[in-house]
Amino acid sequence: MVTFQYAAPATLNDAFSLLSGAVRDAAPLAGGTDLINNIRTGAQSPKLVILLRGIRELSGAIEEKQEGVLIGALATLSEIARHACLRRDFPAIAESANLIGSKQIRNRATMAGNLCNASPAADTVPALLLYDATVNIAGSKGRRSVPLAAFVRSPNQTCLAAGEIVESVFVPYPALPSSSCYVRFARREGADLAIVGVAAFASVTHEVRLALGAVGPTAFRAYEAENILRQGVQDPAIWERGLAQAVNAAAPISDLRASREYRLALIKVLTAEAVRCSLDRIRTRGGKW
Amino acid sequence: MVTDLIAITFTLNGATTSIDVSCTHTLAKVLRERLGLMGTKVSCEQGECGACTVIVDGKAVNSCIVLAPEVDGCEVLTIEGLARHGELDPIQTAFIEEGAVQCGYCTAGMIMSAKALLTENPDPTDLEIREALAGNLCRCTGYQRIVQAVSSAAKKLQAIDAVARKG
Repeated sequence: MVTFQYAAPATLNDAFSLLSGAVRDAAPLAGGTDLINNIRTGAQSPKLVILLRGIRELSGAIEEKQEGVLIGALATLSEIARHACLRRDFPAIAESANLIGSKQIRNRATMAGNLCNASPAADTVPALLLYDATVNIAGSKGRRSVPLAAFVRSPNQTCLAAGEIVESVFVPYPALPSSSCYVRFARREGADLAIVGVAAFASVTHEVRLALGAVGPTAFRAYEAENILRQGVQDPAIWERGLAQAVNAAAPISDLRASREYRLALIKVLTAEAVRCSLDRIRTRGGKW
Repeated sequence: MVTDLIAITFTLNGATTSIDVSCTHTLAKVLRERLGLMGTKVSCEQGECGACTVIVDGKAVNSCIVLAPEVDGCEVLTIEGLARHGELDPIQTAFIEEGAVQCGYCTAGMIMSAKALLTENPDPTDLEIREALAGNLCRCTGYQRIVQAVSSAAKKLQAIDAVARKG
């Protein structure tokens, strides 16, 4: 029999005192699509579940600021997937949000939750890494911002200290014209997790960025492969070397979804697809590579 | 403030409903076992199959992974709330006409996903229908008829809408 207590605080301060209060093992609840399942399977057994949706300082807004887009902790994946600015200027981010789960899941699940769950296969992480996203954290001792690359530490582990929660995610505008793409391979769309996910970014200044998911303990940028591809993707030798370096950068494991070898083979295919797609998108938008 | 039994009030199929729920119970459990609304089916109980789909504040959600207290203050629509004055919703009629029901276990969830889709997008493409239903599994594998039924329901609703606008 599953037991836990429940609280729906109205302010961040109330949430902080609950998180660091008398009841140990408190879990914040945003979309709940991971948490409720984890409680059911026993993977998580919080004594207290704290609903974030009623907290007045937390927002589900996606705001176009001067320097970039600020995505509130309560923004659902559905809202992110259809947001016009994200689709136009950060296509990989909108695309990755749209690939998670089913419509029903995306209507509930939040991107902040996807980051906090810290799955190696989290789809939004590679896309956000492309754009050097930062995570804004709030806690009883104040606020801090952490680069996403430092936020996700290891499988199921973030840098959040006890009593801290994610308030928003900030994504700086890229230099335009640029574009990006997130592609993943899964056994079944609509429910399954990524076997491999690759996010690519390209700009007219010949910059190429790559981030790989589900092929290491956390998603990561493949900087060395980026540097090779930047020298000119039209050159077949450079192209091959860049793809090989992306494969080299990965350290996938074998698990129930795929073997290590299969994942390594997929990285090359998906990286090629993601880079080509980003380049095509720049061309469609009138940019010249 | 911290509690395990919670009094919630929400709109259920148009009627204000107040009930004390255990905070560990899901919306699906409360709908079926406390409120007697058995149309919402529970199958995988992990948000994968969509049999328990209901509409909360206009959005299709899996009621098996929503905690009951979360719907406090929300508007919830279940399959029982679709028929009006004894008349089936055009989506329900279309499912019958197109033979989109086999064993029937997934049907309520399919119809609720279709309802949310057609409310948001009255004229969906086949691809959009398939995307909206991707989280609803039919193990009789009758998907083609289901997609046809949603498409036909869209046309019915458009016709009703056109008449209403003229009238």
